Amino acid sequence: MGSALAAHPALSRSPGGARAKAKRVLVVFEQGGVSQMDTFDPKPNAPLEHRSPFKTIRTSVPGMHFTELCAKTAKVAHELSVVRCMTQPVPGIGNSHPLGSQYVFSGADPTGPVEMPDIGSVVAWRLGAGAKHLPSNILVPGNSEQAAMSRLGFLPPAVKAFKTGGRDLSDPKWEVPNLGLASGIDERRFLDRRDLLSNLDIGFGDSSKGDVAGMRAAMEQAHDMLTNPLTREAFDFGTESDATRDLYGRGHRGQCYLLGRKLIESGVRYVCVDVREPMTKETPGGSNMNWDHHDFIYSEASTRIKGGGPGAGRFGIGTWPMMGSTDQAFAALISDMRDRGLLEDTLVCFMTEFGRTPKINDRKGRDHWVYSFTCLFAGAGVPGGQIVGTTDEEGGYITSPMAYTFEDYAATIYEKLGIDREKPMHTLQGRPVQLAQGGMPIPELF
Amino acid sequence: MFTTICLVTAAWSQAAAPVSSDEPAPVSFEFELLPALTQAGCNGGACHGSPNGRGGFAMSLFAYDPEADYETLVTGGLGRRIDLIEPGASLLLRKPLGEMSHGGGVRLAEGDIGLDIIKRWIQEGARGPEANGVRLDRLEILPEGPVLRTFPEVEEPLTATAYLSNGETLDVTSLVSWFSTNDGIAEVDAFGSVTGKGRGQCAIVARYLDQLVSVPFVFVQPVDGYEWPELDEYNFVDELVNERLRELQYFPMQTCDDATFLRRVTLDLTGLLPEHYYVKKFLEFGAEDKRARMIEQLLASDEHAAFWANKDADLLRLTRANLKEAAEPYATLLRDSWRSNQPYDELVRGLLTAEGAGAAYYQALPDATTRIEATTQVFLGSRLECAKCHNHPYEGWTQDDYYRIATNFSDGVVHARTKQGIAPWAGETSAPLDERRAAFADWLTHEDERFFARVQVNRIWAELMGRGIVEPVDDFRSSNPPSNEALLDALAKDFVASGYDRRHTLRTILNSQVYQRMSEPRENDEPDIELFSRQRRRLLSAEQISDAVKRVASEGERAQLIGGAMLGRAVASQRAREIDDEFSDWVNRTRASLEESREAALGPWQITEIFEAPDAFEHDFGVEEFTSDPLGVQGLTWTEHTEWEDGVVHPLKMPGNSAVYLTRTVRCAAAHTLTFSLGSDDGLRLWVAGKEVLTRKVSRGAAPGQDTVTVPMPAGASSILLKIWNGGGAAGFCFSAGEVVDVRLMELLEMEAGPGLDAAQEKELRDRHRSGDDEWRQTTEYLAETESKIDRWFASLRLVQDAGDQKAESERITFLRAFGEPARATSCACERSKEPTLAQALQMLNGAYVGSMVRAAAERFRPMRTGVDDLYLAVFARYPTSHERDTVNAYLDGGDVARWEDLVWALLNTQEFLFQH
Repeated sequence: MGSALAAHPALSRSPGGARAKAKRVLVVFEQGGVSQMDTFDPKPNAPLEHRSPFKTIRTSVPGMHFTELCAKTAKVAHELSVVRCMTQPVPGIGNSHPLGSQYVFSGADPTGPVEMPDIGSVVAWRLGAGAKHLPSNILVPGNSEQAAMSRLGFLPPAVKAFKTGGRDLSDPKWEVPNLGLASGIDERRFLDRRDLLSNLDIGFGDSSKGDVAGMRAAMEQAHDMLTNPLTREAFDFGTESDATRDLYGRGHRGQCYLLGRKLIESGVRYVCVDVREPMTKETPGGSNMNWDHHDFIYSEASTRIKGGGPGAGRFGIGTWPMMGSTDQAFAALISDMRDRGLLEDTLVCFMTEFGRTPKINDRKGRDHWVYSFTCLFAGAGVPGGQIVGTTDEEGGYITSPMAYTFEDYAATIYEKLGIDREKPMHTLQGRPVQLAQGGMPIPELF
Repeated sequence: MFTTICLVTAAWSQAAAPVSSDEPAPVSFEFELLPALTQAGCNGGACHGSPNGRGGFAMSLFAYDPEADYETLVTGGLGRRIDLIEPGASLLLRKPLGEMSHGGGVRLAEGDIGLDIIKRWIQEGARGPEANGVRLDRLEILPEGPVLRTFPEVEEPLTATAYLSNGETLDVTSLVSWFSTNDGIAEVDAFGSVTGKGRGQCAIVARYLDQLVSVPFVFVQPVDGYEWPELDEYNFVDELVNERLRELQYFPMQTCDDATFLRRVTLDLTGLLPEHYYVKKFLEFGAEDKRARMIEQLLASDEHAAFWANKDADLLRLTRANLKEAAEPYATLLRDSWRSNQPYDELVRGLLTAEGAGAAYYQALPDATTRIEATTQVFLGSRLECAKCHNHPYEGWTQDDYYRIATNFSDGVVHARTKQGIAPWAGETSAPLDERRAAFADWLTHEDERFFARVQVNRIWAELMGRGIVEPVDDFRSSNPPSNEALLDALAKDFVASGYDRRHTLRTILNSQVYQRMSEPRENDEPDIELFSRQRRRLLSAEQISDAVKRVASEGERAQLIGGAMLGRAVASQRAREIDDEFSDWVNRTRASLEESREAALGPWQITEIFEAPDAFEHDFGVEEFTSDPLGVQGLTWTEHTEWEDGVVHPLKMPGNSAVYLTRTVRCAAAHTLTFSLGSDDGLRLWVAGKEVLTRKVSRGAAPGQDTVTVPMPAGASSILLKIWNGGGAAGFCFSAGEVVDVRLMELLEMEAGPGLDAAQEKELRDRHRSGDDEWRQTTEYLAETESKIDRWFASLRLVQDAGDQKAESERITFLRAFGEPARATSCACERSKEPTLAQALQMLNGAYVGSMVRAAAERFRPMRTGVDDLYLAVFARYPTSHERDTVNAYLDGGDVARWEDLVWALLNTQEFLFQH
């Protein structure tokens, strides 16, 4: 994949400046491996036996086509850069879901000698909190099948991804645990306590230095979080209109995307949305409903069909819990963020750990495919209405001169945020570690 | 394309020789070119020395692999790095000179020695590594130091000399890479010239190929009006720390008050807060040496063993997840090692040679890589993992060393570069694995070994002082010198001399004035960072703070158990002393009563095999000649039957016309007669003390009391021999002899009167005496039960972390994690995070664990008559000031529970509670 190393006129050495258009990043991580030819890289001329059954449709951008599963996203295509030449250069690394997911979280080889922190942790560590009353790096909800692959690496605990939790965010009873004051302690009483504390917390001598000062600062921030109404508001769907909630879709996925937008709007530096649709009575036969469609990818309901294999228990890609809700939520996210002016300085990334085989297997499914897949980018100066990279007639191999990796994706985020990649991080043992590990920003996104 | 360039290079190299004598020798690739590149920073870890290199150009880190570097330089980069036809066009020159865009910026300038070397090397045809096998033996830096200078002092020139394996020496002063470990104290330029920048100490380090040498520097700056205050010195620790402080003109802090000392030492040794009533007693206690006595008491406590074993368990990666059922025995081994104050070298040897439960040492470190890296980090204080892939960038450890040590711990180790096996670090190549492990243990724990004792005393010091003499504690290397070398040496020497007695080292440090210094900084004085002029304020560790909160809330199960055990032991030993006063009376009384009672004591039955013969009743089978000592008969097999009770019929499985012999001992306290009562199926013969006393050749079924016989008995032990004959059909016997007394008691009494008792027998007899006393017996039973509970608690030590299905437990675990409890995934002390975080603040202000403890503590202290004082004693180990008392009483205002909860909550959130000081 020489392209990552290729010199490009747009590449500038200086971080910050005109290229650093993002203040915040919202990543939508659709875990399991979204099929590229059924969504954003349609292949109407593929041999019939391997062709997607979904029609190819026009988008708002002349010459750019999606499948009909992306009808709503097609209407906001002029806001998107569609990168069809994403690839994993070393197939053995991230061909599995755990390592592949870790690769997406960290933007670095998950099998390297040093355990690498998530991009979100690096961002939080380098840039600090965007909003003092909220964590700087949040996973919404942080319970997808591979959410445990989120890593802190060698960074301090303060920048670890904060997981909101919640198996179904559309449940009216959902709330983030421990965010409000503990039960029995109302705000009045909490302030009384704080008052008493400030009267008693004296006589420990100079506390302007070192850990004593650090603890005092942490106490103040925690106090702010616990009593600032903005903290609760950031997680409160009650502040959103019905129209907005409907726009995203009333299910778990739509509300997760909406919460992502809310947190970005509240100033959180880095948000990653990792959805896995919950099992409900509307999804009989569903179990692990991610994108791992090894079986019956075109099923109109559950893929738990006789003759099934490792992919059984998903729902077919064309159903509401899969592309239906995704198309609606993502289109809503883009148009809503644009209308609110958030796309000006927020980089939005739609990621998956790999694509799916161009050929349909004997269980009518598609297996893992690391050679080419599609990711979407928008906002923070990313050109809209752009296709980056091309693949062959079946969508299996990249035919364009450029191809981009997760390292390049990480470098893109750092560059957009103005983070100096030349300045290494250091492990606890003092080993210098490069940000994005040799990746280069994707030039077409600047 | 590549081939062509190689050929050109080879041709050129040959053409360049010979060199006439007045011209300089050609540039050596290894000894000049590579050091020049290192000096310019080319092959550093953040540049081309990183695993990915930079811009597609990757070299070995600090030139550990010259052959590969030569390859990369000459044939890599499409051959553009070196242009032999037009040297000035080589990328190797144009990039660092800034003639082309270079990610690393401008690294060389005209006039640099390095530039001259690179130019000449290319002009001379880019010669490759020496083929004659000449290696660098040693790098010498002069002066060796330590260098002591009064600041500000301008310049101190250092020189560097390389000693090669062929006997040549090279002046490499301008070729080595110089750096200072602290630029705020001293800077060094490219020519080894050192300039002082501030007061303090640092090391100037020189790197040349795989050698790293450092020179310690101390810069002293006279402080106006500096005068050493009057101060107690208790032991050599004080002398050596003070010497350094005086030299660098820092002020030492005075000794802290008793309350602060008690809180500090209790937290340090047991991880717990002192109980409030304990604090009261200690503050009131008037003895001069009460601190030393408290130290002894805490050192002997089980809590101390548990808390410090937990520190070992962190480093040894003891988790239930990775050790399964081996986890508890391993935890027990570590705790018992502290409990019994096992010599440290013995403990480590047991681990490294996988002795008993110590086998878990390797189980927790499943592969060759983790074995070597953990072993060297824990016991050598060296971080060798870097050397797996390249020579250690900041230490003398090479890649070869890494694989040699690895060979000591695992079979089938292959060197990453040579792809071959390598001789072990210690011991013979051909030795089996367990011998190689033992050989490493021998080398490690050898008395002269500079690492082992130093690393351990440094760890102990860091636990007590908040910072190691070498810091980080597992990063011993020449470029990270100790802040007080004399102190580290003295502690290590003392540790070795004590027989690796960890408790001795703890005691030495704890009893020093240095340990007992105040933690407040002096006004208007910039405190030293690493010279120990005062105690450091340290955030309580995860376990300390979790237990501290819990202890304020309740005495805690552990405290009750251990308190109970202590009380139990005290009561039992007091009662035992009282009982023992009557011991000899009791012995005489017991003996007399036994003698008078005419009772006999019977041992268990033993039986022979079955003998068959037509005349079995008459036949003696070689047994009946020895009726006084049947057990002495050669060739007989006796089987013991302790379960055969007297007075009931025991069936025997015997064919017709067969016989069997039974024997047992009978003891009489004095000579008297004894009546035996027998039954048999069929006939019997009985011998007592060698004399035949009864013969019955009958055919019958057995029943009690068929025959009786009265026999005169001698004092002491005699043998009974019984022969049972079966004519045909069923067989069996029945036996009794008066009342049976305690045979063991008679034995002990006999020995007491005769040859005397050994210690164990004496204890046994005394315990028999004591057990007649109800109070003693009950206390002893309670003690045994409590101790077994404590044992179980110890065994579950820090393993509870993965048993969190109960709500309270999971709340506690969340709390522990927030405060940096390590997952034990590495052997690095740094895995335990010590920094204050937002998550901790949230836990303290609003967490469920603290919430429930606050409620419990309020319930506990509110009803007490002196509740506020007691709460202060429990939280801070001191009484409240009058200001505090007023503030609190005003807030409580008579006091409903909610107000008390607020008070506990506020105290637990003060800095004074959260920090050790």
